[in-house]
Amino acid sequence: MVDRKALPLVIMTGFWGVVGIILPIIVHFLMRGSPNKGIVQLMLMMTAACCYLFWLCAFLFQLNPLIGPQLDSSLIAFIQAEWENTPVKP
Amino acid sequence: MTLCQLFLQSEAAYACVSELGELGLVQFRDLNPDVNAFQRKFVNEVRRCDEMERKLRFLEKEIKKDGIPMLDTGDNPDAPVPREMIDLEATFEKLENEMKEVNGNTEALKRNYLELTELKHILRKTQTFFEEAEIHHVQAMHDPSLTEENFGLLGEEQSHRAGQALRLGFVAGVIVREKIPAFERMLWRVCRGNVFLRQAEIDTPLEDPVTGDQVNKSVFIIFFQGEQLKSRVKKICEGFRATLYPCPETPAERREMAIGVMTRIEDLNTVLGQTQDHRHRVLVAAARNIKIWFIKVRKIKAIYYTLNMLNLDVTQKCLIAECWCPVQDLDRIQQALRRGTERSGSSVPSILNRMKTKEVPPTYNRNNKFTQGFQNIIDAYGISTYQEVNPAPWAIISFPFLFAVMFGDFGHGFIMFLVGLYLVTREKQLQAQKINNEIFDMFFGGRYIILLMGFFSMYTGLIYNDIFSKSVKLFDSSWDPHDPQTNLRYTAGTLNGSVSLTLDPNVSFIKGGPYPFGLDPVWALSSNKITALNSFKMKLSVIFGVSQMALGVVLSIVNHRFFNRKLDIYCGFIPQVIFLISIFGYLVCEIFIKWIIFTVKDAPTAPNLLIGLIQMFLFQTEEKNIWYSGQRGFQAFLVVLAGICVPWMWLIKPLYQRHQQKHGQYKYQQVPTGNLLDDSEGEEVVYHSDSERSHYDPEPEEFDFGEAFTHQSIHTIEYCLGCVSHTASYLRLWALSLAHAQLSEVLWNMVMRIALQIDGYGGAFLLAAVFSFWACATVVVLILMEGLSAFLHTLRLHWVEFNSKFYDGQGYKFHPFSFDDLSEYSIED
Repeated sequence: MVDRKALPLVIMTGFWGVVGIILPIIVHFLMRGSPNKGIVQLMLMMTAACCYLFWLCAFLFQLNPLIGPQLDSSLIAFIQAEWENTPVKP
Repeated sequence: MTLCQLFLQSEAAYACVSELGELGLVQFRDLNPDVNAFQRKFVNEVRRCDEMERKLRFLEKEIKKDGIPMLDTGDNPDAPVPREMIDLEATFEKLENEMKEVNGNTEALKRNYLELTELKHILRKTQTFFEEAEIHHVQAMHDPSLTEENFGLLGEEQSHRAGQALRLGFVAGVIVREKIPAFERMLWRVCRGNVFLRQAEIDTPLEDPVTGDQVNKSVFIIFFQGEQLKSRVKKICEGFRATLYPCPETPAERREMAIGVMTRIEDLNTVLGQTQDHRHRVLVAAARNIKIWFIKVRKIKAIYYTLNMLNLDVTQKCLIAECWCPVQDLDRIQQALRRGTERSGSSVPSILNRMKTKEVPPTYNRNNKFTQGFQNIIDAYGISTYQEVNPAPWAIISFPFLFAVMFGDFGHGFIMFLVGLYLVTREKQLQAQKINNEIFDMFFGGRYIILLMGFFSMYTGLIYNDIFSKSVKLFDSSWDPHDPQTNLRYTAGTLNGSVSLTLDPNVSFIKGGPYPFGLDPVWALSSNKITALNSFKMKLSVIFGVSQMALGVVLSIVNHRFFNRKLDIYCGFIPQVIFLISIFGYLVCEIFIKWIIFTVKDAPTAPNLLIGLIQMFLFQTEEKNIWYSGQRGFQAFLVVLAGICVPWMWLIKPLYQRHQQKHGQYKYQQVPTGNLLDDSEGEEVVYHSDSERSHYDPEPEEFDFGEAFTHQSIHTIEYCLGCVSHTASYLRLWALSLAHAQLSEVLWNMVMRIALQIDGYGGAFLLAAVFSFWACATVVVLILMEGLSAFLHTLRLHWVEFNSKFYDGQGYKFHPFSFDDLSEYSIED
């Protein structure tokens, strides 16, 4: 079954790692002479840092939930009927 | 940035300044600040330019009145040489005179036309009066008992009444229609009812020659007897500004006059037409060039203004200028000077001489159209001190991102993104339109900011799982309701009735892992959503707050290293960093660790981080907030470490400086000077004790311990208390995000949902109407108002919380002499 803990972590870290680390290096070579090189690199790194941190906080917050959602019973019935959710034992 | 002296040959000065204006890289200093504007050297030329501009504005007004389009090719003509100025002056003079003449002629012609038209109407209308009079006169002749008013007896008929030779005089004229009732009343009162007024309206409105307005007028004719009444009637007519016309008495004469008037009217029309054509032709010819002329005149004026700032050399042959130039661009400036000298045909080259000075140069941040917007919002707080680190590049991403944390809704972010996209892709057209609306200018100037804010809001909206207050299920939810007692799904029995059940993560958290991207969609349906998300958003705010403040402190060390302020590094940066990290860095670590380590099985024993922080300071950590061995000791160590940092920041620097001074080694390190780079040329040192700006920092001979100590105390207190209060201030990220989400949800629940619940055709129409209301409310309240609010809060976070860690902001802006913005040289108010 799809691993819900490691896989998203790897994918997102990889993605923002490319944006924040690999791309600036590429830009360094591609935009050698341009006066805007520094700004572009800075923007890429800051975007990657902020967006990754934001996603990471949302992910870690839900990693080990201490409380669950409080739902109305009719809603629970609906969810049980409509959402096909196959459990995965950790 | 360096201070330079320019030596310009008098003949070449004009051309050189023109070239420098085109280049836009040089800021001239006023070398004659005490001289009155009227005593400056080139005041006559400036006056001539003002005259020319006045004439041009007169022409422009005339062109606009006729509605002729002014051709704007977007051309940028060079400033004309002084010889050309005389030609321009002559041209404008000729045009102005011609226009004045034409206008005068037109006015006279129109007045004539008006008179003739009125006369025509009078002749026509009075014909009816006199005809009626004839009938009555005939009647009266056959019926002498009629004693009503005998109007129409114009004195030419003999009276058949016994003894009465009625000779009625009359006046005919034209008056503005609105005045007729008052006119009648006045006549009645003054003449005691002995005059008779007949009036008829003129159907077509007549054009007033002076104002060009269309006025409704009426023809009147007044009959009276005797000279006294005549003079009274005439006076009243004068008072009411009625124009009187001589009206012949016999019908034959009237007919003749009418024919004469018609011919004259036709002639006049032709002449008027031709005059208008001529005027139109002149204006069209002028309209082709008028924009270019404006630019040329303003450029000339700008050059002469600048020339007024220069000093005349002792030999009277050469003008001296002082200016600030960016060191990088000195080559281009030299080239411009060479071009100017060549253009003016002067043999002597202009010289650029670099000077050493103690004055602080202006700050020049090179921006392109994208970064200019962000630089503006930073500059609004304060221009960076010369050569200190510029916070703007960091703000390019941090500003829209923090905005997005507060605004986080995919739908609203998408709309904002589209608006930004429209403004950016249509830049050129919108700029060419030169819209003068201030509000639009603000939005247009911030178009890249809006674009980025919309983009990041879409991202945070996806993570908050909030699209117009609804959630989407991109992946399977991690929560499936299971009964904790049976470990199976809830049965219909337990779900009977409307009961509120809280899912137990032990059994309902079924995927063994969280929702992969963002918040789980089940939270949007739950009633304890706010409680759960509060914890998330508050921790998020603290994490981002501490990160941005840490970035600020790190930027301060960049400043210290550049200016070689070793003392500030050891007694400023290091204790600041330690203070921040030991307390708030520790808090952030605790947040992350608590998220990772504590599962639902440990839920009863999970520590309360906020209480824990408070108790850490009081050295009274309770048992239930201890979750690792050695915690008490470690926390005590951290608090003591932070405590040491306070006197470190406070006392060491002023004491050390005093020690240095006592041993004669005191170096005043604060002022960044105008020439930090070593240059071999230009050994002149210029002292300007009466410089226009007070950026002259005198080197103090004495080190004032008291002042330094106070200064340092303020900084220390500001920093330490600031750390605590600013961290709390970042909680506004949580507060605004909550407010936005709740507003959005309320709008949906109270507006759209009601309409969606109504069935049938009527429901469809109602839905359409309600949707339009919902959409308007979304745009106005949620996007505009909330957007503005979040923008303001983000601005505050940057200006106060971020900038206070490192920013000095005491500089003044580099304002080069450039032809790009000529509006300051125009005489418009």
